[in-house]
Amino acid sequence: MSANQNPTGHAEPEEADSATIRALIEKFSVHNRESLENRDAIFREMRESCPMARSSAHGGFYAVSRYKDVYAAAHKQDVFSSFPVTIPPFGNPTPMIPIEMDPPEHRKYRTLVGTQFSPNTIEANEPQLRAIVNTLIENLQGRPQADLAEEVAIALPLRAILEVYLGVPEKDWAMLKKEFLYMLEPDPEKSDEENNERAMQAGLNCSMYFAELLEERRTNGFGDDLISHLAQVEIDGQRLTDDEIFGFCLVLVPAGFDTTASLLSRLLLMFTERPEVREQLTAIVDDPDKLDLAVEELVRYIPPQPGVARNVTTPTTFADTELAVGDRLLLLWPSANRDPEEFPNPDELILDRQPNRHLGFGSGIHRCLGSHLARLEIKILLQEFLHRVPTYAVAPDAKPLWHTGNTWGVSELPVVFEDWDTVGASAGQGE
Amino acid sequence: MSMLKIAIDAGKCEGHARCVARASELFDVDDEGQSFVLANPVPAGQEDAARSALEACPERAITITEV
Repeated sequence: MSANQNPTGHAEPEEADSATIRALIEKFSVHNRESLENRDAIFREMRESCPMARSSAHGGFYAVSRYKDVYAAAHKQDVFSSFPVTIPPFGNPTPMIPIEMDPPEHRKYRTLVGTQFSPNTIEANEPQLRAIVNTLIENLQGRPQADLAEEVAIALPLRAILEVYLGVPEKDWAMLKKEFLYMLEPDPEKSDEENNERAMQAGLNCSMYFAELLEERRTNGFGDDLISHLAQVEIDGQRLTDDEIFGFCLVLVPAGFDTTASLLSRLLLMFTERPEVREQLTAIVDDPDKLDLAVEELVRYIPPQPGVARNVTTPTTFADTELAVGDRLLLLWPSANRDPEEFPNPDELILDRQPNRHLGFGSGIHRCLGSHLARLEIKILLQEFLHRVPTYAVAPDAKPLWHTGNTWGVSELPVVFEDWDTVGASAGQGE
Repeated sequence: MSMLKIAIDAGKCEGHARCVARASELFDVDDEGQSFVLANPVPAGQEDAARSALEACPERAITITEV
């Protein structure tokens, strides 16, 4: 049994009535602010009365909301293609590597980076990741206020992928972040066409940056970074083309920071809205076994990515729905993760939940490649942050800024800290 | 006395490695992150860990049978 029996206490607008919710379902989009703000009610209504809901947004698609259907769709490569993987598509003419690739090519490319993101390799990066976390916390120490989204939630995964994995110099982190956000978090106020144009330009800018980085490594010698690795690996005796290398980087960098940033920013916001969550986590953070279960529950409860697309390649009946070639599905991970058919008391955060076969990292052949890195980042942050950073509240003259897009998260979290002296005594506590 | 035997369906395993996190005495991962069984049948005292691993596998790739 869990000690945590609190209902969800989101500081969200009051729940809309069911007619409003049904209207929102008909234009559901991950890029729509109303979809984000009413997500719990929308997903509940979808699961209960329209598990293959039809949205008219972005040319129309089916929103898949029940756990068993989301899980099944993620395992049907024979009839559902992953290209394009977003609705609307990014507009790239060839599939992004490896997230938009289908079998059998997918396995060849995915295997190239399997070792780089395996649990054992990730574990070896632990000291570097902890050093980053320590730097971020030292930057906060003693200050009256900070933006915890910018300075912690985004900074940690951004530095992990750019510094630890790609060896990108510090001066370029901010520029890359900005460009990638054009691709990941299109402005909901702008048209699909305008956003697409800006995203394509951003993709081009990033590719040019990676091209310079690759050239520099080729000239000055390869290191143990990911670009050097990709420049030397082979598929069926052939080196990757430069475009394939840039393509890989264009997926791995944003996938590496914007996702974990979303979870961390929402968690750090939750600490202000539901202080008991922070207390419960603090009570178990030094027990590795309990922390392991708690991190899984956090990923179930606040999965970063609202959904990925699948595209029908063969006429099929799925979830009692006739699907034609070209029909599109959006697999709603957060809805699956709250399905009472799979998770008892799904709206409760139960830190020792077992079984917990959540879909927060996706499922099937496209299971989040960076999941082990994400887990370790979350664990290390909790281990250091909970003991060393005092409680805080959202700054009185400000409010958190949520973003829509291919992840849902908080991009600005201005807070004021309680007394830093209160945490001095417990700093460095732990195992 | 009956014993527990673990099997991983390699076709289903996608490398989530939750089994290793829940039962590191019973499971490990290869260089690419695919799980394999370390100890079969399950040594005495590890039965709960084995069940915890089964309940954590998001791909339902693990089976435990009594032999």
